[in-house]
Amino acid sequence: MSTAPLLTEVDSEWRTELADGLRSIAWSPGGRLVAVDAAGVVLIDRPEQRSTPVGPDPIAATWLGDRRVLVADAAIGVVSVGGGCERLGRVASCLVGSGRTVVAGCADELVVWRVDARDVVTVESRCGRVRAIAPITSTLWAVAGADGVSVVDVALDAADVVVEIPGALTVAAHPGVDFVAASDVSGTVHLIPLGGGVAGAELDGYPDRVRRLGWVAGVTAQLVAVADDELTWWQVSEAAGAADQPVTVVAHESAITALAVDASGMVVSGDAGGGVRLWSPLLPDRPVWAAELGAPVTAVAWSRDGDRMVVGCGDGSLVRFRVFPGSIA
Amino acid sequence: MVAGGAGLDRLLAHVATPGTAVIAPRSVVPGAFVPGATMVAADVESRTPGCSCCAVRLDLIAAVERAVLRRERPGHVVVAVDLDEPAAADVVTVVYTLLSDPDLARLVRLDGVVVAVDPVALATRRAVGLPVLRRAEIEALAVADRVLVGRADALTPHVAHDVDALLHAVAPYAYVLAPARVPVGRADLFGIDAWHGVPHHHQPSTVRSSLGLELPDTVVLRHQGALDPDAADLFFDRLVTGNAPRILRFQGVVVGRGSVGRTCCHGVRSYAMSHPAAEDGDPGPDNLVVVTGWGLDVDELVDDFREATA
Repeated sequence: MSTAPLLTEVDSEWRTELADGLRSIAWSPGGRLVAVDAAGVVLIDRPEQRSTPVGPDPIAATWLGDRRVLVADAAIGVVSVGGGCERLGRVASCLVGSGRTVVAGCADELVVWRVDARDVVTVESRCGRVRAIAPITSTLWAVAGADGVSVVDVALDAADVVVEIPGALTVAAHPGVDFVAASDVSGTVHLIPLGGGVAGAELDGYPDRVRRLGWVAGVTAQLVAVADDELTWWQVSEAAGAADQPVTVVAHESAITALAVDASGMVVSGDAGGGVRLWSPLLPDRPVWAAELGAPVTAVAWSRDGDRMVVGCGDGSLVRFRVFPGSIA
Repeated sequence: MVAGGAGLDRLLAHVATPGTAVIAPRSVVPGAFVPGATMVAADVESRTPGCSCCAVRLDLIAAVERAVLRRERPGHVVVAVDLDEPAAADVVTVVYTLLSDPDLARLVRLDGVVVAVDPVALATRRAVGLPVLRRAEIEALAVADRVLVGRADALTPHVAHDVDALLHAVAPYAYVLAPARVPVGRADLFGIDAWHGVPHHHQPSTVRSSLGLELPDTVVLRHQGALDPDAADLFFDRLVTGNAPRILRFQGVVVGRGSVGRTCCHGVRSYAMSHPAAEDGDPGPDNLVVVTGWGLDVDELVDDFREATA
């Protein structure tokens, strides 16, 4: 029988170098890994398992089920990898998978692929040109667009929520607390309730735009927001909404460039100087682990079970870590 | 940064040498000419809703990051602007984005603005009575550091002289280069660092249009002797707060009392920045500020600057 360590421990499982800077990393529901670099080379599962370049300017990769990878390329559109390489068309600004569904933001539309469906579905974003998307469920997606934020049911082609927010930029959805959070260009984070009972809120005080958002689950959830080198933790509950003040931490020595939250609430952040920090919601004001990778961090991702995280850098290095969350932090 | 209309694709192919990354509008379709170019579609957003003077190109922020964060970092990044594409033709918004965005400030430094023009098209428009330049072209030229004149050998000497006069009037900061007359090398376009020191300008004094075109004003302010630092700060504050929507470019060097060297200042619209100027022995007055913008109150600017020097 094994017990959790008192303090979080992190082991490097392997490190490899891709041909060019890392652009995107994703895990499948079954624990398969994909990483794509700036040269369009796709790494699957292991360092030695790599494709030939699939596109000249990839921006995102994700799994559609456990057998197929979709890559969004700014030049040639979405490409399917797995059982051959196939161009699916449509140049996307963003591409996100929830396991059995992948959604791409293409101009004012959402393009939807399902693992068990041959047909591709296209639905209107309801919030203008799409800039970011986040899954709530496999059919319900939060969308940040030039005109605001919407929650779109991609199966029914219907919008549950549409909120006008000029300059919406990023979005993060947490189904457990019934909120969607979205940042805008002016430096405000908008907390949008999906159910009734509690009012929305504007979380401000940021000098510039909030680049990244993530939700940490819990009875009182925490919204993690990244602005420059700071992490801010906002406590949010369904009953009371957002706390008046966040916990703000100067988390890195240079600007934070990557953020990911795992299902158990551990947060990994990476910065422009190559620093990686691991954060526990139990101890939001100091990292529980830190490392220096020597090149700007461009992508981070957690496996679904939270046991592993992968960090990619601008020099092409890709490191897979095994994480043992501590019982204290 | 390179801006142009017809012929922009050929120019990009010319400047995109190994070690140079190219970011090009999708409308130019540079893929055939510039393998590996990063393609963008303009996504303009204002930091303050409804305010045009702090509009940024969000697509460029992401594209520059993609272009720079490579295993082999490019020595130069060329951001191409298609002046024929209405949604993306605003060069000043591109400059504002490159200068003001904190993420981009970590990665790149604005070297210069190169605008390519087709003199045959200009001469033809003039001959048939059409507006010689569109607003987007005028604004691009007004902030340009180099104007690259293609097909200059196709003009008669008389027409070439007219075009030269036009470009000198519209582009106060620019050197006009015509490869058909004088060879233009890479060093003429890259590494010019034109936004971070004494402004090059070729207008001896305030110039107003005499060309039948509505043109921006350019005001040249000079003073010999050190300024009171607080008064200089107040001048720049007033300049930006009073004129932000109209300012296309300002640039200058000033020396404050008690300072060892000169301070470089530059800005566009609501953005302004200063830093110690490299002392390169450039002759000229201690203080030189050049301001270009639409409908500037020239007399007020001159008076404000005079107050700062008092």
